[in-house]
Amino acid sequence: MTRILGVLAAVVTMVGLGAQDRGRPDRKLLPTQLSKKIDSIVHNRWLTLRLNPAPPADDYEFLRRVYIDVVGRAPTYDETLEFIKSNDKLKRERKIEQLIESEEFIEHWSDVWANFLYGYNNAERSDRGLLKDWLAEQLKNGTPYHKLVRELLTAKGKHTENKAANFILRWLENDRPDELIKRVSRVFLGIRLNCASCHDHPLDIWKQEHFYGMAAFFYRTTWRQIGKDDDPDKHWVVEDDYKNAKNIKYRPQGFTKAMGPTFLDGRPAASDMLREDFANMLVSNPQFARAIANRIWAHFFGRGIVDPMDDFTMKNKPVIPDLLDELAREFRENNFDFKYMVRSIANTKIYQQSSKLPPQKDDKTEAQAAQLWAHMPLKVLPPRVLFNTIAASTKLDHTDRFSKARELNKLRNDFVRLLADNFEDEFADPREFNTSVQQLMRLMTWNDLYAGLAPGGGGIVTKILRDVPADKERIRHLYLAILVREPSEKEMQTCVQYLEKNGNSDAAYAEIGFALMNTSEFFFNH
Amino acid sequence: MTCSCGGHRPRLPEMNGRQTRREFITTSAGGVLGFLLGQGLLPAYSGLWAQDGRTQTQRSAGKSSPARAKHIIVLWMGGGPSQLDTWDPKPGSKNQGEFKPIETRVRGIQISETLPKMAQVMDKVSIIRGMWTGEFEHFRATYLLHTGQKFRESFPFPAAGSMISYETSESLELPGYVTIGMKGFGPTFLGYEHAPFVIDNPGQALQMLREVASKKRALDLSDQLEQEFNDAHECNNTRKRDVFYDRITKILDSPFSKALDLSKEPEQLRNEYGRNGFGEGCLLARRLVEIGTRFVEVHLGGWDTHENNFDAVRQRCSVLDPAMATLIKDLDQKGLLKETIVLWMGEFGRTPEVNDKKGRDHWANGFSVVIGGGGLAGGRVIGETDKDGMSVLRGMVKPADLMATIFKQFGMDPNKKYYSPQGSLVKATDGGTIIKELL
Repeated sequence: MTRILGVLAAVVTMVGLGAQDRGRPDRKLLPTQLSKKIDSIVHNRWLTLRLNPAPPADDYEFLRRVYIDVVGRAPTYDETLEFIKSNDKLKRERKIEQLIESEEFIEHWSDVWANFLYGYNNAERSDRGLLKDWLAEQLKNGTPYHKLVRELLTAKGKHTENKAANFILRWLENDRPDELIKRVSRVFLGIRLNCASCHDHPLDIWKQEHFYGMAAFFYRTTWRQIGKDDDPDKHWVVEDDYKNAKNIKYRPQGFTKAMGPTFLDGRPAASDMLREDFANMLVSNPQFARAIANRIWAHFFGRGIVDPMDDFTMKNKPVIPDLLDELAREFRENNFDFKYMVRSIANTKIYQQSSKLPPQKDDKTEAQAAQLWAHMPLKVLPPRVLFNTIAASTKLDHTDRFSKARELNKLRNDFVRLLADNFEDEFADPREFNTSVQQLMRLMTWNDLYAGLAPGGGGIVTKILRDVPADKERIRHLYLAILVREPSEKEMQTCVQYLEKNGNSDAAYAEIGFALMNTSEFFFNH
Repeated sequence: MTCSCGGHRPRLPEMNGRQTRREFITTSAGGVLGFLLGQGLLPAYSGLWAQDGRTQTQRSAGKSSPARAKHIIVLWMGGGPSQLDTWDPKPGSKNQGEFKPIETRVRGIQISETLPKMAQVMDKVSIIRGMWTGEFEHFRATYLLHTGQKFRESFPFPAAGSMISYETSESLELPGYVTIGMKGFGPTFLGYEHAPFVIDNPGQALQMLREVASKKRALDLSDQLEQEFNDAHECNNTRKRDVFYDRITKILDSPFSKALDLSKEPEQLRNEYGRNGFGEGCLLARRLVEIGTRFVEVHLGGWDTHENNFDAVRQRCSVLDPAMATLIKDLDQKGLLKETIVLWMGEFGRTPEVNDKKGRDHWANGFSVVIGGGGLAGGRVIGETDKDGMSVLRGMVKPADLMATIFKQFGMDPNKKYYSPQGSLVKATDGGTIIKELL
């Protein structure tokens, strides 16, 4: 027992669970102030290490990046041109604001959150779509993050009526809430308890007791199917049996000890309302804010302050501890306002730096530069974002074939299905290019994806052929539409030569469009 | 438990120095991948620990054995085929059902009358009659038989096809792991070089390659137009993409793409395999083995016979029997059977008892798997179920044992340890032991 207490004391001090959050309610930062604070913390670190940061991103690079990160697609040709032409000194701030307040923001982030919470594919006896709808409502209403999490964790009732219940339903197995608690600790605390489900974590402080103590909070929660398998009205319900629940013991097969509901910091359940208790302990824990701050950071910077973003351990510490503390504190003090975080991060100078690798003096500083965001890393476009980027770049919604939303949605779903499995492995590195050779071939030959390039089909090439007379202007237009930038002189020359060799045909423009869509530049968020 | 956390995940070595794709290719004498392997650089691409893995193989070389098998063809019976109506008939039992047993080429082995052609080549393959998994749900059971590991949502494990491709492929220019008529399971931490090349059917795949080839001109343009970007953003991702695109261009005019063209085969032989998806898949599997593909899986679905089991099984076997028997004969005649394992299985068997809809339900506690070739014994029966097929009397085999036996034939070490991305060490098989009766 003494040993366990000793371990828990270590948990408390080293990971920060249970430590007092140093709140300073009188000093809430406005978004721009937090942005400046972030910049100064990171800049100081670069200075100390004598890193050479990348130059600021130009308007094109900034625009494509901020669209992809904030609303999940690249900008269209018109949006790009409008932005570039504007002389407004505050145009970047205004653009960020406009994107955050758009419908697409809600659509994109409800999907991102559904992926975190649920995964990419729909599973049995739960409905990813309903969970996503629910998340969209919360984003729309500005539900603070801690309230949202509390509702997810305590949701009961029918999966069609209380859509939040689809999260619990996705992971809960009756009598064995192990998978659920793994997901909960990973997403909401940034802690991977997976190891500890089989044995004590050899490199960290987590013991099997911790794991099963956490799982015990959900031991009295069950799902039940109403209606037979072939009943179209069948549904699932989440229920609790809280009678004398405080004193229950969870003793899974293969584990010798029975554990009562005990949070990671060693606190037992305070009442019979186990899930409500758990949710309260979770959201008030300092690690809760750190985990989400780190997760949002990783979304924008490819690499977390703790990296992998959901693997906080004693050995895997934040690369800049002050930065994480600052973000976590401000997030909490701003009532866990999600938009506030997005706004603060997107308005930093470091977010608006180029992805072009700046030269460093040696290998060591090169590695440090990558680790400390001295340049923006390339980020892989998740399936849905890649599709929406294809659609926006080539005006797929203007084509004869896909002008109907129903058709476009079907194509999008098929597309996501092709690639979703590659992203389903929750421990895979999200930065890693993970499309197989066969899938790449499929993407190259999936003609519907290129419907916007067909001359006369109504998409981007049709428009260019109709509205733009000169060859070079047409090429320029294609570049702006697809890669969101001007071509270099050399690239222009290559394209002009290609046109000449192929008789300046309409089809040759479609081929140039196809070539641009198959560059690495198009495939990554840079 | 398979998981024994052993060390925190090492950081990926970042490649030093900058090279453009062009320099990269010209400096490589033995092709890009050869170059990468030589430089010990490939691990960085696969995103994972190939380096550690390979080093470990060398260290544990004593445990791995000389390879006898070079290829494996898995005939996957999706839905779970009835063992009583195929390889483990129970004459005289109340559970027998509508089919009678027949004699085979091997004295003492009887199989169901649904498989007359297979009876003629029974000396080439062996029947494992005591397969036991305890897993009655389709997806989990399918996962189990493809990975040798219990399904754990939070701990995805590579498919056997990816493992064999990873361990035995000398070159990655052509796909090492191909699935025909099904999606297959992924490589997880072994990297997407070892993902299955999914073929819906030979015609469709050939068509796809032809279409890619028709876009060659535009793809070459794409290669030129991404140079400036790639030079300024040199990283593992851009390099990996380059390597993949390179593989695509190499596949276009390769033995792989030629293998897809079944019209090169004699009519007579094509008819013997059967002019249907599965028959063509089996023929393609043989053609892929000929060009060196390590792992091919061919799918035949429709075995989930909760109702009208006997009609369905008769129909399925009319497709299965000629294709499988022809495949075995064909491989044998071409001298390939001795280095190619043929493995027939589904995710589970069916209940020995017939239900009130003339169907059989899921059954994972004693069903049949058929295996032969690749240096494994043929003409044997391993294990036995009781007279009504309700329990395994002797010779119980679990998925991990099957995996261990296959890996051993490939000269792989079934106990080899891999780093998972979570930093834990996982064993290639979940404590499997070699099935000695097959050696």
